[in-house]
Amino acid sequence: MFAVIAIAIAIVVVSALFVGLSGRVQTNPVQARSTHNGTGESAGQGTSGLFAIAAVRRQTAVWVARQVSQDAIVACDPDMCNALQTEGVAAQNLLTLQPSASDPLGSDVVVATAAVRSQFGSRLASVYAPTVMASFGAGKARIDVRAVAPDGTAAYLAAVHSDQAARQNAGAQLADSARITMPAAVARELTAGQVDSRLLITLAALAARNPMQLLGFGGAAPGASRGIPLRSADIAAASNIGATELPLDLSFLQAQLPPYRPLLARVVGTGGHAVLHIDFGAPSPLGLLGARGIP
Amino acid sequence: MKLPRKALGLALPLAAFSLAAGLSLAAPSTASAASVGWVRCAHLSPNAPKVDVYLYSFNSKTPPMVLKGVGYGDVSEYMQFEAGTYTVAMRPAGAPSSTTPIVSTAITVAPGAAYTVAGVGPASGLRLQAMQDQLTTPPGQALVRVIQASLQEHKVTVTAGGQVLAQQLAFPSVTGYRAISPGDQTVRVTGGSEKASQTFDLSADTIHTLVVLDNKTSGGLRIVSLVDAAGSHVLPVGGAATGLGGTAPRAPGESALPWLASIAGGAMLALAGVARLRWIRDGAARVP
Repeated sequence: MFAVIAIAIAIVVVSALFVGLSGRVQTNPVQARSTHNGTGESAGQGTSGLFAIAAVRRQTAVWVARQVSQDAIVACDPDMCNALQTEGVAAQNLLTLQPSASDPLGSDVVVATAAVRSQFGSRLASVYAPTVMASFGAGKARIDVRAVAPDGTAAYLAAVHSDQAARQNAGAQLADSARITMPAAVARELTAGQVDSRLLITLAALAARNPMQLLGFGGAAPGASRGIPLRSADIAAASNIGATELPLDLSFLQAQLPPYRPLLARVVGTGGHAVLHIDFGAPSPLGLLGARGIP
Repeated sequence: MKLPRKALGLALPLAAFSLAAGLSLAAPSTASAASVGWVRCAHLSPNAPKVDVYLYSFNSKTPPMVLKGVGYGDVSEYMQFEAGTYTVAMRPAGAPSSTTPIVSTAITVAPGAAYTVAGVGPASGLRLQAMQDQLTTPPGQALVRVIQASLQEHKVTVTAGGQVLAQQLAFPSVTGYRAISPGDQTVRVTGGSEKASQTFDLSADTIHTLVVLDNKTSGGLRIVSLVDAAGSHVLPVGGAATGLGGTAPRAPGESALPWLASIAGGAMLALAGVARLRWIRDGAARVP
């Protein structure tokens, strides 16, 4: 009986210590933010609001660090840029938006915190960056990750529409390929034009090398605008013998140059259970499937 | 670069005969003119080595096409392809087909459309770029566009007669098509320190792509005129007589006659431009 009581006390003490430490770790960003914040975003926020903003910022930073192409230039307010650097985004890929900045042009992606939304107003969505690739949090804490339209919204949306049609066309051809087997749901995603053009082009080249099973697509992000392409895929060999080819397929992927070099490519599992996972970075480039002039 | 008139005099009737013979012999084909397009490949990267170019169809129903040993300044004839999307990849010239290729671009071949897929840029950034080619002209006019593929002169100005076709055109880039007065035209290219000129027959109802290249043998610049189409208002009814498609493996029981028909049908187009098209020197073949 004494031993049981001792163990219970020990658990309570350890739990209390853990909660206390967690609180310190989580409140640190808020403290740091209050030091560096020059945007006024936190004005009038209570401790819980600041905590929420910091948590959403970190969540966004993690997503950007893992999902946005490594050669993309990301525009962000000073606090967000700090968070992105903390998560591993290279400083040279960051375009810090000072309060005097009139637009986010020159970047590929803009991380729209409340401060950035306030800075650019409705022009952010209507002129500079009409589509949301991912969105985190709610209310004032909400942060959108938007793709920048360098030539303006009209040209961008026309290119999006054209790219969607090209992806539908190309996806239907892949779905019809005798060298790729896939579940019906995957075929529907292909024919609906939901799959990133780099992925389509790469899958065609991989299928030309070896027959494959297309297990599924992924890469959907929370709060993304309608029509944002799926950027990842899992594929398996069409046979156990073909499974030995997956490492060669991995080498093929790793040998590619931008824009066809995946953000992540790895073989998971072994033998007949091996799966090749391919993940391309956001944002999805437009116009890869069509003919055009030399830039 | 011009065909001797005697050769043209022989070639055109021969082409017409071939066309008539091809059409009369042609069996019903799944690859009708309504479902095919045309692609030619070019190497326009001055300091890049020779490459082998592969085209993989998305639906895997067309065997991969390979053009071997494509070097700077080489331009293939138009090759006929089923309409559809193709991934284009490159390997170093002579590398086995089992080696890892670099995916370079993708091209969607629309029915009745023609494309030039060109390796462009410096060797350090070599990539293949697809450009759509125009096939029809306004009646009585010639259309010309310019590709700047000289690394020796990063910017060039190109004129034909007194007309400026391109002003300070940067490497690597291409202009849109422009209508010019038909007839023999002296094309002049001026860079910062080098210049070149050459007279081309830019007849009415023909469409040309003028390519500015480094002259690898004597230095300076040179100009090549590619014929995109000859004969206004009429789309080519078959691919240019490349021989590539005709040598491709066929499904059992599939007749060669449609290939003959399409080869003959495209002969007019090919002959009109053959003097200016540089052949792929090391041959071309479909890989099994």
